[in-house]
Amino acid sequence: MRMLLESILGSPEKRRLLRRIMFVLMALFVIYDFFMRRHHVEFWWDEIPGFYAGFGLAACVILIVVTNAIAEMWLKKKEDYYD
Amino acid sequence: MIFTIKDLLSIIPELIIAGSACVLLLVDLLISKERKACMAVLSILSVIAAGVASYWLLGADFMGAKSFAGMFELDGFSTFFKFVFYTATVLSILLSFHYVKEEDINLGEYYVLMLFSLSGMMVLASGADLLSIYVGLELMSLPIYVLAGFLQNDVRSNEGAMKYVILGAFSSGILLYGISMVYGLTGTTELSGVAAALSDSSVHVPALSIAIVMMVAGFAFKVAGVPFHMWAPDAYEGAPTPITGFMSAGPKAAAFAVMLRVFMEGLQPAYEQWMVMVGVVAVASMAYGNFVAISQKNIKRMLAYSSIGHAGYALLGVMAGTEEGIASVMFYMAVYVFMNLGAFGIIIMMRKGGQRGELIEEYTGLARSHRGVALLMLIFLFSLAGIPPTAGFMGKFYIFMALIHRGMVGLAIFAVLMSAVAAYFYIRIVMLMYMREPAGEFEFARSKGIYYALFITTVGTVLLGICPGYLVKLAEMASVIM
Amino acid sequence: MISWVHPGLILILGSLLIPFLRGRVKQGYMLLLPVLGFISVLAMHEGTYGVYHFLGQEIVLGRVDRLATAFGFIFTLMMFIGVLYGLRVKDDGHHLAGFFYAGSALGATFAGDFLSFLVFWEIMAFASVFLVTYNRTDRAYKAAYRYILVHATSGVCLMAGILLQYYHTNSLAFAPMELSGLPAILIFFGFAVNAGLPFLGAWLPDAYPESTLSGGVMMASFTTKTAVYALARGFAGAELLVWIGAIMALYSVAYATIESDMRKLLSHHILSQVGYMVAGIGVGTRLGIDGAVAHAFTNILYKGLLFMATGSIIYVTGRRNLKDTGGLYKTMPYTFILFMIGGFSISGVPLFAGFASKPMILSAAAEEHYMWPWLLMMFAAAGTFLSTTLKLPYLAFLGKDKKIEAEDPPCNMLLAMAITAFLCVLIGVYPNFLYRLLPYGGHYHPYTVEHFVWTMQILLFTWLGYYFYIDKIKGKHAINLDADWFYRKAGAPAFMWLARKVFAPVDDVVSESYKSIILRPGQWIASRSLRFDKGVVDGIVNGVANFTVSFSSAMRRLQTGILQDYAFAVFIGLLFLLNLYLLLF
Repeated sequence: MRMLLESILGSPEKRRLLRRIMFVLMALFVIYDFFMRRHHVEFWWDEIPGFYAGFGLAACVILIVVTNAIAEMWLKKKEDYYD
Repeated sequence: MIFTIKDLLSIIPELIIAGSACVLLLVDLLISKERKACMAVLSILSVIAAGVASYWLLGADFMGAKSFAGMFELDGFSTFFKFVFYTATVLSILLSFHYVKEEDINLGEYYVLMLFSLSGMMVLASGADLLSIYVGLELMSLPIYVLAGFLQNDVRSNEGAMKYVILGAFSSGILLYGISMVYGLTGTTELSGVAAALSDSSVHVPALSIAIVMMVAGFAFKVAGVPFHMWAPDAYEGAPTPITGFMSAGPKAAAFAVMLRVFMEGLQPAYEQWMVMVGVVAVASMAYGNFVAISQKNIKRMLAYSSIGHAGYALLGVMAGTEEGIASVMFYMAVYVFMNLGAFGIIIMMRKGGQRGELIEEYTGLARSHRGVALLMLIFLFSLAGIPPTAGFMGKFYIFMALIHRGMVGLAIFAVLMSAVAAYFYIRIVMLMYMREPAGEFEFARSKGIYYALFITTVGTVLLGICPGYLVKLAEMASVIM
Repeated sequence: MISWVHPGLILILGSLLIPFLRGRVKQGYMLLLPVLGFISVLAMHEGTYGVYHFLGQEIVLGRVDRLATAFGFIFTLMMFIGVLYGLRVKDDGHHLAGFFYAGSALGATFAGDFLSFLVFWEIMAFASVFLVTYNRTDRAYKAAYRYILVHATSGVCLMAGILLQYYHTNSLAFAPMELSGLPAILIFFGFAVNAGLPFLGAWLPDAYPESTLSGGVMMASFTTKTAVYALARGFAGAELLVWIGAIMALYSVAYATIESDMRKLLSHHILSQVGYMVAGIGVGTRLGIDGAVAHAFTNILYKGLLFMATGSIIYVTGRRNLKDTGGLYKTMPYTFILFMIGGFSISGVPLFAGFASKPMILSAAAEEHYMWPWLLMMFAAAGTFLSTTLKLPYLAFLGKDKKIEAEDPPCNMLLAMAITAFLCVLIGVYPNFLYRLLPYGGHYHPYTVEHFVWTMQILLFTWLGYYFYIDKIKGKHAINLDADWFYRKAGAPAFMWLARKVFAPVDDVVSESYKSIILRPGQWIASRSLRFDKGVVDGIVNGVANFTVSFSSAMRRLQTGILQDYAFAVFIGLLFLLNLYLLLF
């Protein structure tokens, strides 16, 4: 098992390949969204192709940027803060 | 006044205790100092004999009847309390065994005085007349005064006893004053007669209220309710530890017994008036006892304040003024005997001469080296704090239910909040035992007596918490005194 | 034939034998107990069992319905896994605490009345605290003390609420309630503290990371989920909960994003996941409740798995902060893979457990047109994936190789993780396995094309966002302020100030005259309500403690030791009672 993992994650080429697969998958899922028939539409944005892709990206970036900003400005304290 | 044989039969348990106390006083002369333990065993046997007699009387056909021209009442209520006293006395004697040797107060009178005090409590529980009640009260208290000061070479002991005697006399005077005013107003000292006279509202003159105030004050002194509690911390701290346990279990239960009897039977028609007084004392006791207990460093003193708080809870049950209220007080007193004497048992076990085992600090890290002892202490402290599933929780819950049924929900909530305060100082000791490294070695007093006592108290505390139904049923059956 | 055996009592009573057994027998016995518990849940039929009459009230130890049995199954199952994981723990006390804890969680689940519910609820708190103290570090002791004080306070609120409820309804039965009126709010507050609702849940990330490794696994499973059960039982359909839950999901995810202590990060995620359940309960439709229960079920599994995997890292390397780890996949390959299964499950990747349960709650919210809560929860879902499945494994297992000496943990720990991982995948692949257990039968189909495509879009593009920032997100040695600041930092000085500036001058007056005792409670109440008005609700816990200490030492001075003073006091008391009479009548 260790060999297997190392052969995949250990070499930069394999990692690059993995990354490429991810990008291809992303493209596929977004493209498919344009042609997908919607059985169930709950909210208006369900009709927009690729909405959730944008949502995921935005959510992730906002979360990282905003929380880190708050942490730096306010919440982050030294580990012995309470002692 | 002519005594019938029934009169004599109905006081057999009292006769056994008083008689054996007298006999033991003589026997004591024949026993050498090394073998004083025989006295303890004999005392326990006589208490057991009295217990058997009480049990036998339960089936007698004059059960529930008054004797000695209405002075003495043998009923389920008094029998329930008598068993509470028996348990408290036996447990205290078991705890004393080793302690008296250690402290070099190994004298026969020690046990004899406990028996005399016990007989006083029994008379008190059965008293149906203000005069027999007063006699019982004094019979109970006088030996306790002596016992509180039994550590002759200890200044704290002497000081505590001295305060106890003088303030006790003071409060007796107040009580007696109240009794005499009741007699003056109603023309009788018999409780049922008093009740009959009071049901006529023309007797409700201001003087009656003064009489009620006097009596509330007198009894509140005996149960150590605020603001009549001042003797308790000093007396508790100074008295020999088993006697402290005895004082906080037996005489306190007896005081509640007589309080229930006098207020619920005799002064029932004036409920509206004494209810307020008792309520004030109850609330003050809960608040004061629990708050002040927090800053104590001596565990006996802390338990003294906590017992003031517990008196407050029980007074709430009295205040409810219903049969359920009575039953809840009875149950609470029974539970209190087990959990409180259990905690005192651990304190005695920790004691090795001097003050050792009395400072809260000394319990630091106990759980590291002695899991069993720490676990028992945890059970007792949790029970005193009223944390489920221990007996203490059930006792409090029962009282709260009685209050709610009476519509006094505000008081119940106040009591719940106070028990949160109480939980704080009990949990603090548990945390000390479990969460710190020990400061030094622990040494224990190892004696069979303590083991037996701890066994009984643990079983009682746990069992009454998990299946309280049986005792509750007994208390409900015995709570019919009106 | 006994018709019903209480699974909680099997665990609690059965555990009493543990200290007397040794070696293999002991290990086998400990594993047997949860199995017996599971069988007893399996053998149950709906109905009411174990009814006792006490104080004129019905005490029901066994209210068996589908809601209770669903939690019964997962609790006994998780206990088995937890015991297996902690099989090598030496302390009998630790085992006993664990069994009492799990047993009382089951007891609370099956309790049909408030009295026995309260009893089990309190045992839970007092048993679980030992799972923290057995870690035997100074930090653990302090966290444990805070933990128990918070829970004691919430227990008191719960008890007060129950008594008031009894006063109003004249019944102790644990039945659904409206979230209005003081009794219900007090009860809700008691539940809310255990469920860790925003601002009330700071105890959880405070105490859990300090617990023992196997203790953490159990705590992650029982306390919050029992609270979820209680909320589902008592407050299903309370609309407020939708909002609270959605905010909670995001609020806790935000904390997780900036956290570096592995178990603390996961603790925030417990709260976030509980947020989903709370929202589902708030929606209150059949799908909402089913979703909440299903999510509790899967959450216990994957959260347990994640706690076990991070616990293994700590067990093997002794490192708990992401700043100190990295490159562990080479030395702990199995742990890595198992962790990833947990990570995929919590993020709701198709074919893993979360995908079966989380969409139920979202669909339920969508059906009832809760647009904003729905968006908040979707937002939190992206965040969950970000910090548990991307950040944590990247910094712990991949990332910069710190060349840490390590190996996979002992076989019992691996086995416990493997079983859990298997169940996570099983539920993901075959959701009906779980749905059949749900209160309303769980009629739901997660595997539609839209769900699949959209979920993959969110997950993949979250990864893309992470990929942009991958070098910026690092572990750090720091703590982040949370609501516990109020009782750890603000409460103490505020009370000291009050004690010095307000109460000390009053003190002098008090010790001079006895009457001030009557004066004091008034001031006490006034200052307390003033503080409360300021909104420092959290200060109550440690604050009250500090305050009472100072208050009580002031009161102590009354005990002068001079006899005349006492006699005088008695006299004054007497006068007071007389005055009281004159005022009243």
